[in-house]
Formats: sequence, structure tokens, C-alpha cells
Amino acid sequence: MKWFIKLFRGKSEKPIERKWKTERFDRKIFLDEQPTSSEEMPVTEEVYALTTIRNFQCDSISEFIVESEWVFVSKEKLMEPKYQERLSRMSSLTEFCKKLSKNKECRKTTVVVKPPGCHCAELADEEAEEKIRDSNPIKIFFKSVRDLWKCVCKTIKKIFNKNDEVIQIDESDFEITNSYLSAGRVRALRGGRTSLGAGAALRAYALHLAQDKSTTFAQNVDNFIACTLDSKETCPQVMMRNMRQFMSGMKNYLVKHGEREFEKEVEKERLKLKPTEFLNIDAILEGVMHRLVVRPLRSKLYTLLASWHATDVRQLHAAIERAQHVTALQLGVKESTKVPSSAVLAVISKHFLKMQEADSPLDKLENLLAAISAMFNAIRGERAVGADDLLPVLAWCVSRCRLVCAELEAELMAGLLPPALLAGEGGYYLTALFSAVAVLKRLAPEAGSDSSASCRRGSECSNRETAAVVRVALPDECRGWIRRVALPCRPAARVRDLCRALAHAAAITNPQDYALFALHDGHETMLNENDCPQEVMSEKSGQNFVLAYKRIDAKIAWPQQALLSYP
Amino acid sequence: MSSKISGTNNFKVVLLGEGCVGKTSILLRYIEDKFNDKHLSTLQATFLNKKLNINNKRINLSIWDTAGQERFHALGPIYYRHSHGAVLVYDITDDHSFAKVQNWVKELKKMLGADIVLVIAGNKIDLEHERTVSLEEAERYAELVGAKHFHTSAKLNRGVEELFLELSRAMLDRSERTPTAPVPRALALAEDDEAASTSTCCWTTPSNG
Repeated sequence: MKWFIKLFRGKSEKPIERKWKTERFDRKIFLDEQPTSSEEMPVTEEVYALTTIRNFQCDSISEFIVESEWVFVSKEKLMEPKYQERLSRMSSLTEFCKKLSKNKECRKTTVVVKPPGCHCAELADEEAEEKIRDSNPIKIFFKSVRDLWKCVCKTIKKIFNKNDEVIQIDESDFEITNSYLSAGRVRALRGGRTSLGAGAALRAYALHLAQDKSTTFAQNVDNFIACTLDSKETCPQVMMRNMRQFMSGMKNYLVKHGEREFEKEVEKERLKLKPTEFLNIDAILEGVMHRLVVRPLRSKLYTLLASWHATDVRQLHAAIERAQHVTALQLGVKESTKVPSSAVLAVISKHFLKMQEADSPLDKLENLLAAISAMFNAIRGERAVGADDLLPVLAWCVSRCRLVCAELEAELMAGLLPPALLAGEGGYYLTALFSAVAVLKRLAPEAGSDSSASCRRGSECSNRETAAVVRVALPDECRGWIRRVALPCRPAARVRDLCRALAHAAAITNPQDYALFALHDGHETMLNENDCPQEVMSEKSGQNFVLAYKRIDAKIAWPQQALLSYP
Repeated sequence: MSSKISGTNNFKVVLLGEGCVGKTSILLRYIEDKFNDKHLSTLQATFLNKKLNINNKRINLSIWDTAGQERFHALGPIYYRHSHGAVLVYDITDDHSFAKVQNWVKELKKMLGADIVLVIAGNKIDLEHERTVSLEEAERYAELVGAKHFHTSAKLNRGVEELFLELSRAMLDRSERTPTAPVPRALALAEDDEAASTSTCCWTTPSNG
């Protein structure tokens, strides 16, 4: 434990939230006592669970726990100075395990459970693994993870003993995701898509088939994308219906006819399966199709959705603005129900943002479910939470998170997800999102915005450059990646207005340090507060030109191409 | 896919009724009695799945709760479309909630016709002494519109299990019958005119004015 404290403290001058997000801390390792569930573990001695926090983000604890690699070692072993020294030198746990097994020291490291996606257990000695299989490791693991996480939280709290709020979010977030783990189908579908699962090889092979332009599969996919991009179709529903049909068709084609070695590949993977595993081919291929079909068409689809629903978006935008002055009570939230605190709202907002960023409709749905779970956990009290409570709270959250694109996202999910999924839990909460939008929209006057919209549409603005939605790149300096957000923007809106919305969307607390830039061939031009983003966009249309919202002083080398091809 | 072949019937059931009639409690009571571990810990009762076996036929109920407040009435259609069954709940101590059920019946009949199985539940029979909705009237009405009527108390756990069982039976019955004979029942055609005139008033929500 000392070791943990030492290492952790050694580099923690910054406030805690920052540190959580910083990826540089990949060498730090969490460890904690294995708590109450020890009677179910095949070992009687005290055990420590170790993992790296490299992939750790405070908004997805369960993913972190489930997808991280874990090593369980005895206390004795862990406390050895040599062992610890080695731990602190390793950049990743996998590497660490490899090294251990190379040095034949692995035998002393008791790898007790093998969570999904853990490489290290494969390297552990056989005997230990035998034992594990008998006692259903996954079951034990899931049972213990909850307690484990609580313990981790407690320890962190003990160590930092301040900034309780941040940690509190984490705890609640874990609970949420715990309940959202039970969203069976969504979860099952997802299982096949993670790169670490048994389906990885199959997924890779299907993607490889799509690369090989001589296959029928690849030709079909390419043709479909080319045709869809060329099509004059303006109704997004039609486009999505075609995409859905095509994706289902291609899935069937691969499963029933196969191509090249596809069937052999399936057989090969089947042989590798453990008795408790199975290949969810449908789910794996669904993920592949999202990658091959949804991703390249995403930008076109959003354009269609935005122009088709331009009035709706404007109306929702106005409604959300109006809702800022409306109390939760007026939105229909019962007096006895308390709305989510600002901390929880931040978590919800993050899930909403991830929902917008995701390519795949499944990822979007998962983030929607995560956001809703966060709401449940925030509002549940003594009594059960029914739709009477959820719906107004959802509407309230959509307004407070200013999720102006809620309807577009809901339409996209409803249009692209496999119909079987929409009959279940996913479908229910998607419906809830639609109805929350409907609840909010009633706050906005329809007639006024409509007339101005139609006259505007009639004049020069009928081309798509003046779509209601503006896309902006947001470099995240903490994580070192670029996020794209789509924001509604009235044609007459100023840069100032857009900046305000962006600061809110990105949860930036010091907006005075940020500004909107036009990126053109790697050059940044800062836009004036009074410029009109829509005008700037239409002047430069057709060029390699992007809007970016960043810290004025931030020095960023922008990627050459990716920015345009991926809105 | 395989589950369909082996004969699982997936039914969507929507719970309708006014705000405080106890829809959520009924749902929770129904699920709680069989699955008292997993779902209850989360205490969410907006969407729940329940698996049943009737005459060796596997049935999966997806139960959708709806928001009952008057202001959300207009959202009804997006919840009840593609439903196989509806549970209409009223509070026996509240006349108004019974009137609301009648509105829902008319609307559902109009929109979904004979495709949907209706069950009416008079909830809160533990408050029998405060009853304001006459028992005979309620049962007569249910019979008139071709719905089964149940007396329930989520609090005392009365009638809830029976209600869902009967509903499932009826849905199963209907689904087995429909592929061969899609003839609507005569009862579904009743009161068409009246439905049209009343539904306009129940569609007008205060905020829409």
C-alpha cells in the first residue's frame, strides 16, 4: 500500500480530476485488498487486484474494470521490493506479465481470475488456470468487481481525502453501469465487437475481405456506398432504410454463402472456443457493417438529417433555450423527485456527448442507456422509478445538457439499429428520448420560427452549406485527441453565440481563453466575435476547411486529412 | 433468430393510466414476486422483461410503462404502436382515472383496432371503503368493450399475477389465430363514431391549447 501511495502521490501536484484524465500516468497501478468475496475465491490468503490506469477515464468505470487487464497477486508477493520495482518500470500490464513469464517468475504470481480480455492469465501457470475454470471465473469476477471497486474508491478517498465530489460521481457511475450491464441484448451485441473478444479474428477477416477489391463482398459494399453518396435522395429515412437493408443483406450473404475463407475462418475460431464461450456472429458482423457502411456515409447522413429536420432542430433549440428558465416542476417533474445534481448532470452530459461522437448506432445506444442509468441512480429514492418520473427528468436533462441534436440522434438510431434490438430495452429508452424531445418542443412556439425559416429557405440559402448544423473540431488537450461536435447554428448567428454553445458543450469553464478558428491547409485563422460562422463556411465551401474551437494559446499540429472526411 | 424458430412469442405490453393510479407499483409487484434479486436492486420500473410458460409455449413479455400525467397524453401513440396488449389501470377511489381509462380504450380501439388485447385493472382495492368507481359499472364497461376486468392491489399483491397471466393467454390466443384468420372481432367495431368525437378532446392537451 505504501508503494501505491508513494507512486501515486509522486506526480499528483495537479488537482485530482486532471490527473484522472491524463494518460501519461500509465505506469501507475491500482491495487487493493480483495474484500468480502474472498470466501468464494479459490485462495485463502489475502489477495491484491492490480491493473493499470492507462485506459482509465472517470466516466466509464465499468468499461475500465471489465476491459482492463487484472492481475491478482498474494500480498506477500506484492510487498517484495523487487516485484514493486519491476511494476513501476513496466509501461503496461501485458508487458509486465510477459516479462514475468519469460523470467519464469510467473509461477509465483497467482493469477486468480481471468476477466474477459485479459492476456495475462494466458501466461500464468496452467495449474492456476485449471482451478479457475472449475469455479467459473467470470461469475466470481463480476461478483467481486463491485466490492473491489468500492474498496478502490474508499482507498482513493482515504489518500486524497478531498474533492469528494469527483469520487462520488465515480461510485454512482459504477453502480449505474452495473445495472446497465444487465441490458442483455445490447451487452451481448457489444461483446462481439470489442477487439479483444473471441470474434476479433472474424471481424478482422471480414474487414480484410472488404479491403480485397476482387471479392463480391467488397464490390457490393463499395458500390452501395458510391451509389448512396451519389443519390439525390433527400429523405434520411429512405437512406437509412436502404442502409439497414443493405447491412442485413450483407450479413446474410456472408453467413449463408461465405466468401473466400470466411466459413473456414468461422470453423477455425470455433475450435478455439472454450466450453463457456460462443461466437455471436450476428453481433460481430453487425459491428463490421457499421464500420464499413455507417462510417463512410455518416457525414452524408447527418447532412440529410439536418436539412430534413431543420425546422425541428430550430424548434428544439428554441425550446431548450426557453427551458433554461423553466423549473423542473413546470416540466412535469414531481415535487417528490429530485433532479440530478450538477455533478451527475456532468456525467450525463458526457454520455450524451459520446453518443453524438460515436459512429456506430450501437455505440450511440449504449451511451444513451448509460446516460439514462445515471438518471435512474440520481432520482431513485425510497420508491421505484416509473415512467412518470423518468420522462420529465429525461426532458429536463436534455434541456440542461443542451442536447439540441437529440432528435437527429434518436432518428439515426431508430433508422439504423437492427429491428430486433428496438423491440427491447434499447427501443424503450429510444422512445423515451423521442418523447422527451416532444415534451420539450411544446415549450417553443411553432408558428414564429416556422415562417422565418421558410422564407429563409426560399432565398439563397437553399444549398447545403447553410444547413442548420455546424461541425466544429474540439481538440482535447488532456486526452490528446480531437473531438467533433455538431451544433445547431442559425444562419444569422455570430461566432460569439457559437462559442458560448461550444464552451457549454465541452464543459469549458474558462471560455475567455478559447476562440473559434478557421483551419485551412494547416493555417489557423482566429475568427472575430462578430463574424457569422455560416457565412465563413459558405465562402470557403469546397476547400479543405474546418472550424475548430481551441484554447487561444494551444499549439496544435492538425492532422492533414482526417478532419474533413470525418465530420 | 433461433429462439423464434423454437417458438418464443415476444409480446409488447403497454401500461396506461393516469399519474397516481399505481402503474409502476403493479409492474414492480409483478416482477418482484418472481425475480426478487436482479431487477429490484436497480428499482427501475419503466421497462421490464418477463418470461412465462403457458401450455409449454414460451412467452416473453416486454412491459412498457408510460408517463400518466395529462400533459404527456399526446405521447401515447409512440409508446403503444406495435403493442400486442395494453393494461389500463385506474384507481377505484378516483372517478377521473376511470374516465381516463375510457378515453384510452377509445383511442386504442381507433388506432389499433382488434390487434390489441385490452385488460382493465381497478387498482387499490385495499382502499375498498373509499371506493368511488362503482364495481358493476366498471365490469359492465369492460365487458362492453371486450376487455377483461381485474381487481388488483399492488400493496396486498392481489390480482396482479392473474392479470398478466390472463393477458398473456389472450395475446397468445390471438397471435395463434391471426395468421390464419385476421378477422377483427365484432366488439372492436363498437362505438366508432363516439370514439372519433371524444378522441379529439382527449388529444387536446393544455399546453397545445
